[in-house]
Amino acid sequence: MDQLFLIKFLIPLLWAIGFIFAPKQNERAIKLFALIGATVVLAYSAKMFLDLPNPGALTELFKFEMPLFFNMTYTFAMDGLSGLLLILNSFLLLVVVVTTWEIKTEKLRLYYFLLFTLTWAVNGSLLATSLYGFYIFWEAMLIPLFILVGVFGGENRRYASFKFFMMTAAGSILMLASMCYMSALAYKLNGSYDLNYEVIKSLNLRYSGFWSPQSLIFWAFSIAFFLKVPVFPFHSWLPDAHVEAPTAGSILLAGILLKLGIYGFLRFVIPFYPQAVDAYRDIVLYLGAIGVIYGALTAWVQKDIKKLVAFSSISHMGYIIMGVFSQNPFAVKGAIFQMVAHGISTPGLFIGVHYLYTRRHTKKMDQFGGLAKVMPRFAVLFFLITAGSMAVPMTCGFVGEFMITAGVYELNKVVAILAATGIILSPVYLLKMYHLTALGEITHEENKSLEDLSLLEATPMIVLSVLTILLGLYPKLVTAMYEGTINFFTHSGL
Amino acid sequence: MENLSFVQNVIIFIALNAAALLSLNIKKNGKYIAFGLSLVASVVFFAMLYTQDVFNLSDLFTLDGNKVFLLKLVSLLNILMILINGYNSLERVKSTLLISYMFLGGVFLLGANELVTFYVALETIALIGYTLVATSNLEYSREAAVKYLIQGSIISAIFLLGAALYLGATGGLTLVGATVVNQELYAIAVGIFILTACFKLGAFPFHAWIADTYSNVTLGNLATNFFISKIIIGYKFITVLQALLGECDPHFQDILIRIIQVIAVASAFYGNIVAIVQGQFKRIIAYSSVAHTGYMLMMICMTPDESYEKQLISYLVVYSMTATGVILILNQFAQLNKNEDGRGILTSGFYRNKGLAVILSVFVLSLGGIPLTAGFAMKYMMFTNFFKEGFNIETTSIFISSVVGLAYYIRFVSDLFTENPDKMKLPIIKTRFSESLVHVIILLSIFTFGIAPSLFLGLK
Repeated sequence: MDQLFLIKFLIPLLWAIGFIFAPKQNERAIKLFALIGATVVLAYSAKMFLDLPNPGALTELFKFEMPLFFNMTYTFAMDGLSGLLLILNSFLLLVVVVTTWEIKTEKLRLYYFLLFTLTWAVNGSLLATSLYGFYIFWEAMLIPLFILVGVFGGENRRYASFKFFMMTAAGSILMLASMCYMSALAYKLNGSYDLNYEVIKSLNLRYSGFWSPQSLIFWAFSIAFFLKVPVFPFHSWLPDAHVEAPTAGSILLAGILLKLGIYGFLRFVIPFYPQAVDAYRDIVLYLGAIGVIYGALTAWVQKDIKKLVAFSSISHMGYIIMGVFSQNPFAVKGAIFQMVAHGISTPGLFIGVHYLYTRRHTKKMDQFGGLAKVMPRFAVLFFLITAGSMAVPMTCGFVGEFMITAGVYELNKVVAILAATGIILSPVYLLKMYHLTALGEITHEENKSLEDLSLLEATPMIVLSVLTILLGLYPKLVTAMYEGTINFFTHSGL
Repeated sequence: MENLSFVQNVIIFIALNAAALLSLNIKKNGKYIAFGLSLVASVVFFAMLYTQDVFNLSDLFTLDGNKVFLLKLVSLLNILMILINGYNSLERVKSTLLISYMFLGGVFLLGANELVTFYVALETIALIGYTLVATSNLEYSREAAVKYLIQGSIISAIFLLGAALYLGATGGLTLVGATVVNQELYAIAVGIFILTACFKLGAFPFHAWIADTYSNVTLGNLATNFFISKIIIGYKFITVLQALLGECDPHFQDILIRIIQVIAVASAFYGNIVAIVQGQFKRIIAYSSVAHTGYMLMMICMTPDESYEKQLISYLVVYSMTATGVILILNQFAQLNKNEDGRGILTSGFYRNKGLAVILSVFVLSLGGIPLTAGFAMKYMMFTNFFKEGFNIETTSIFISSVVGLAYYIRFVSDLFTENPDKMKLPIIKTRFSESLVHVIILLSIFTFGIAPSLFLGLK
């Protein structure tokens, strides 16, 4: 057990609290404080991963008993998967801080407070292996994001934040109901309400059709996670949230928060409800495939760039859910890789949109065109990231989608073929977006005087572009981190 | 001697409050004297509760164990509410005195062991309730009070019918250890008591009085009314009904429990759904209390065990205390808006008083059952126990209804953090020391209950 774990774990929260006491007037100091904080968080996340003795198995980091909370135990543990996502989460915090360096708001302290609290809550979800702990952090994520969108968002931010909160909370309630049920069961079996990993395993819920406990709990958890991912038809909150969210919200939402739904499946559903996963696998695979096509087609007809990227997320997340539920080790490996790839390319696209918006105060594609002429640096970086998102070979997007499609093909050819149409459709809408913004002639007078990216602005895009190519050429850099855990997330490991 | 000290203390309480009432006639400083006397009465009463653990006057009245604990808690809340009410206006001091008598009714209800004391205590609380509404001086206060009075009187009459049937079925009026000689009559009597509980607690479809009453009483009175009526009436009815159901023939018991469950689930759904479309906060609170009554009623159906009463008390205290906190803060916002309580009053609340907005957010998130707050711990404990009892469908239904509940709670937070373009023109909300003290106490309690509920529940 890591004796210093608690301190490391609480760093983002302590940093967030630090913003409350920061001097309001000194914006630069607040921003520097945020930058240092984000760097520290990334550094300790990486260090925690590097210190793992065996990324292939869950290593307990910290455990404390809560005799005063129904005698429950809170266990924090880490394996390759959670470590990888922990690093991604911390990395995205740093990206957000750098990208929004020039942010102008009276509520700067609140802004950073929310970002760091959100990061802390995500870290907590990733490391908690007792169901109760996971649920606390899962819910804790909602509030900072709700306020972030509600306070710093666009014109319809209230509607979007409310819809996002309610839809995700509705899913959480189902998860909570299942937890209460399992707690009651655990109490009958062990005389304790505790729901740590070992206890959940020992419950061994019966499966004998839809109305059996395993099946109902599977669906309760699945709906909670479907809403988070989001999987078609549980996706309607996402476009609104993305469009109205400030850039920081969009980056974190697309980059890491959506992945928490997939992580939930891998950590708390697949290992515990094998018969239900088998029984309902085809339904989920088809939902994933529909999501891929629906997301792609809807993205195609969008005029707002942010909305287009939001729908593209639904499409990409469809792939990931298919990969996970295929239970084919190759596809599961691809799905986890795709989580990282999507966590790099989609935030990159949102950063691009952010720079366009800060210059022109519009996100409509028809308001741009020919930007490559006045913003060549932007055009190159935006293209590289777009290429990653459309899964061009030798970019990170290709690796994940290829592995998933190949893995799913072994199991269900129809679904694989349906999903493959997404590979065709994604270049259609993404190239259309790129074409309408960066290529062609400059048709709007205002665009002629647009400034190219400064070095500070370009930095996050450069880093993300490099990662897009690097992981496309050498995916093992990431896959090696979680390779050993794959068995645990497929039936073969049960 | 011990029992005599309790009687003495009650007499002192009544005498001091009577003196306070009389001192209102003193032209100069009358309200200050009245306030002081009432406060002293409550403080003395509270202090006396620490002198002994059992107050056993006769078979008719016993206060012991959990009841004494509950009484201490309510007494403390009573003192805090008197402080909050303050002595700034004559109306407030009058309300304080009325509430003191309501509190006294609560004390007798809590200790009542037979139906006559039970009835008298219940009526005392109800009468003060009618008066508080009628004297609220809002546009429709009197109409609401009359409506409440008429419906309340009908229910009282029905309750008396139940008491008569109970007498016929058991040969006595005592609520403890009665021997049932006629099960049919007994089941009807218990059914009537269930109906009375549903009315008094405001369960669907006996809730018609609740929205009008709540919306026509001042927020300050509503807050004080809340913790006494909800906690004590809720506790008493639930424990009594549970004991009475235990004596029922299994066949009738099954039917009555089924009826309670249907009412509970219907209340949870109805309250939550209707609350979401309300435009006034008082009406939102009224309907949310209908929903919470649904959760409470489910507790009647549980098998009592060692921790049962503590769970019940903790739920009632947490819910009432949090709701009281919400009402008190809403009152602060409403006072700056000519006592209007439309949803607009919270707009930009965060920019008008950050601390107050954050505290209110925590209160409503607790009511919504967000983790680390008392609301979540209670919800977790209660629903887990419902599942343990095998009420799977009912519990799942109530869970689903609570999603709707979360929607209106989160709207409070949304309103608070919504930035009004004219926020600079909105008045800053100032908080008095006594108000801040109560907010902080409630806030700390919410987190203490939320993080360490077993401290209170004594669960192993």
